[in-house]
Amino acid sequence: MNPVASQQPASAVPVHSDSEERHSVQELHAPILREQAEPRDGFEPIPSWLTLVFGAIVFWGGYYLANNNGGFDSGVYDEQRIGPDTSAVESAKPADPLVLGKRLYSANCVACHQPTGLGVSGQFPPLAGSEWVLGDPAVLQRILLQGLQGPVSVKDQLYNGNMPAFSSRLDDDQLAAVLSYIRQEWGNAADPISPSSLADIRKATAQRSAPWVVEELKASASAPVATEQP
Amino acid sequence: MSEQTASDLEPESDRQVFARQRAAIDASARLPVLGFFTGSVFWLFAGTVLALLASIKLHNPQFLDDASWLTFGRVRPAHLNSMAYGWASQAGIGVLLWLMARLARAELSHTRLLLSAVVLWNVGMLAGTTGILVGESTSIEWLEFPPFAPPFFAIAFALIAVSAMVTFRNRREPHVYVTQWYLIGAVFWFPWLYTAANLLLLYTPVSGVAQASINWWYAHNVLGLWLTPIGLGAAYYLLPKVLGRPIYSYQLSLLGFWSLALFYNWAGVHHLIGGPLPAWLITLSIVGSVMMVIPVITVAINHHMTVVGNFRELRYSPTLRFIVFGAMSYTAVSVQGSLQSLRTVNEVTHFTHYTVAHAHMGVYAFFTMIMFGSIYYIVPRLTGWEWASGRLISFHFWTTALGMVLYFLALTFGGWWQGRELNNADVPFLTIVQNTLPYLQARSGAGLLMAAGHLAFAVLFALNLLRFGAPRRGPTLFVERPNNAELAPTVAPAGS
Amino acid sequence: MNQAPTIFVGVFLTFASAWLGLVVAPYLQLAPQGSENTLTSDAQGGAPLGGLAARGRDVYRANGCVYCHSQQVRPEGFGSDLDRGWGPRRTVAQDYVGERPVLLGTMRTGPDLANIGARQPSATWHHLHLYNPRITSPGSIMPRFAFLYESRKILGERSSAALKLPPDWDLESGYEVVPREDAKALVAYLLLLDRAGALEEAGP
Repeated sequence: MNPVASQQPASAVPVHSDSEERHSVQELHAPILREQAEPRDGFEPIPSWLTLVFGAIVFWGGYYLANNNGGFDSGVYDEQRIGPDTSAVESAKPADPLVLGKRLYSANCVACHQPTGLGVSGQFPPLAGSEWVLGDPAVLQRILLQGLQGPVSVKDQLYNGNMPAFSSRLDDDQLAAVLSYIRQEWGNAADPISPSSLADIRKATAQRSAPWVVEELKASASAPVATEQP
Repeated sequence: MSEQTASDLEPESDRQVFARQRAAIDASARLPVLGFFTGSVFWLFAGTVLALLASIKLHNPQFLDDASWLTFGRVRPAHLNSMAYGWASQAGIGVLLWLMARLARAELSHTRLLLSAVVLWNVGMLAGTTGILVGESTSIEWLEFPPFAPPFFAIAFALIAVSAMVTFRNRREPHVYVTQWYLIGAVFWFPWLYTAANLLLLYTPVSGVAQASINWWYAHNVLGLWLTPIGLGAAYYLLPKVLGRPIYSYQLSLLGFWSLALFYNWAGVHHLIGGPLPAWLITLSIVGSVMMVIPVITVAINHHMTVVGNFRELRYSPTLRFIVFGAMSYTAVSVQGSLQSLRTVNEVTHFTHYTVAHAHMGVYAFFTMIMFGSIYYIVPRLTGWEWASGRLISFHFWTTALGMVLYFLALTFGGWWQGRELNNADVPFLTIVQNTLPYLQARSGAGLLMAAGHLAFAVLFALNLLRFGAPRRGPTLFVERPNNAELAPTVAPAGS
Repeated sequence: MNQAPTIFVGVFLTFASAWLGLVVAPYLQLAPQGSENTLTSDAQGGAPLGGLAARGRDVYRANGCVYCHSQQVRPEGFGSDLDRGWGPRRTVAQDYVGERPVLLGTMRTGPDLANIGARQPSATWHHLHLYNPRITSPGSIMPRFAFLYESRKILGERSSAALKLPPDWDLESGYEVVPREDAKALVAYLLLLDRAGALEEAGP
């Protein structure tokens, strides 16, 4: 690539005179005449420090690939190390049940019952000041475990919806946490619920799979059940 | 060999000959290239309108929310495709064809086929964009055009490739300059990408998550192996061309091109970190993404050392200013991208507005600004008419540059915070949404600035095509040079 | 020196390498999972969608839900997906078998929907939310999909499918909002989104 040779025109005069006559050569020449020469290459060498830096990056690449390839196995999803820092801490279960309860509420309940606990008028009942939340824990726990359907009056308003069951989706610790949370939030003030009382009620209602209706609920809750003191 | 003597530059007699050669080349390229540029300006306009709609709808969801064809989920992909294929690709094709002809020192071949390609491409754009808005979007990112649209682009591109490659084959210039390597790459890579992706995802779709890997192999490579080579090729041509200086290092050019060709390919699956794909696939893309630092730094040094000592020229030359802005943005956005592909960073940025800012840094701050600069250089050579107003070009520059900076700052900061909050399960989701609102509003403000710039650009383009106003002497610059002196070719060797 | 052959060969080989790595290899490794369905639940993942839900998936596609909602759950220790209750485990390739196109999404302007059917099994809620998201989710920036619903005069009896809108959002008396077929389809699809079955490769 001798740059001097590249500047020699292969033919002294272009043979495409048709195009020149079609367009005014004077017009096209003005911006073209003032142009610099076509670009050409300089030949500065690659700085040696750059080679070192790039070598280091390639080395890192090889090292990372060797350690995180999961054996090139289609069934391996976790490379050997996910970031060893903050994320693991954030995902640890919080010790305080109220913090866990609030988190579970945000994940599972807030869409219908709202962050304010006020529900959606006519559709999803409120929890704030609700006689069902503040009342008999045995009733409340059954509602969470098996769900509730059919007409129900909450704070003198009638609702007729479908509260889903959570027995398979949340364990006793989680259910106890979220119930304890709603019983003390938004001005509510009722005792927390223990995981062991949840375990007892889960056992007592193990045969039931269908959602409750209000009449059955009260009957079931008032039946004697062996409970441990919370 | 780093010394360039005066005899290596064009002696006066040869200047006349070369000028006439260039005139013939530019004449051959005039209609197709202006055709693609006109198409690109139209879709820049359409894409900007769609962009503003999408942006406003995010912080004001009730804005025009009755019509199904204006719902965000349709407007947003219509915007992306308008910009990617309507504006960026057409501007890129026009620049590519002109550069190929100029560097080959041969007239552009098959110009009638190219005119058909212009029509086909824009018909495809119209069909595809309308298709998205009426509810036929494929919801495959970067490939949303419904199945009746891609054949237009495939055929059009075949014609473009024929012209580009025949022009290259007809070259009178034996030396293949670095720009041509990038353009040959682009012309080869894009059809393979487009055909494979459309076949495997639209027409005979593969089942399951293999689609996701193919999807993002395609989408990332549209940026990396289609738009980027054209942008870099344009910078490699126009920086030394406008300044009259050589490119700093041929060796760096080689390293930059081949490392880009090798590594950029592999980066696509970094869009799926944490996703339902095997670890090896994700890791390979992370490695490819980080390796991209090599070509990016290489090209940055090459460009910088070419321009260094001449930054005062940015005061005068629109071409130079847009291209330098673009080239510097390329370095910034690529390094950002390499960092973003690290798992610990990605854990925060994935799924957030941060990635939207990053995408616009690439397609806009890098590619679009280089296209603006290239169009400002090329069009007067095709029309024989100078730009109507240096002040309007300046307005175009400042609105788009400042708009892009505001866009980047707003969504980068807002997106990072969004990501941090998303990773904290104690922050309710709707709180996170509310917290992003001021940043989304700032982005709309940025969009308005950029829209104003695009309007100025479209006006300038139309005025040039219509040969409006009195003929000018000399190039349209931002401000006049002192004593009206032209930029004289540099004879001193680089670095001395 | 004629560099052209070198350029063409190099351009081909570099591209072919990633073509093999990111397209061919994943296809060979993952596509054959097609017929095997190790999911224990009979929900959407793995089984082909029938009728209304398939149409609903099409509505999801046509309206670009994917641009705000992802459908992938990240693993424990990487983001807070599991803590937000977005799923009992991360999602894996097997969860998307048979889907065309796969709707993984790349933005979380709205929450992840991989398991929304399990998390929100109330069709009533979905209809209210789609009709106007701010009814159920104050502060939401999701657009209305009121065009999937028909507002019409009540003829005789109120329709059993009519939405029970809260007083602030209700139409004037004598009018009701009824889901169109597309709305019913979309909700049917959303209710099937449940990728909770235990899978070995999803890890601990």
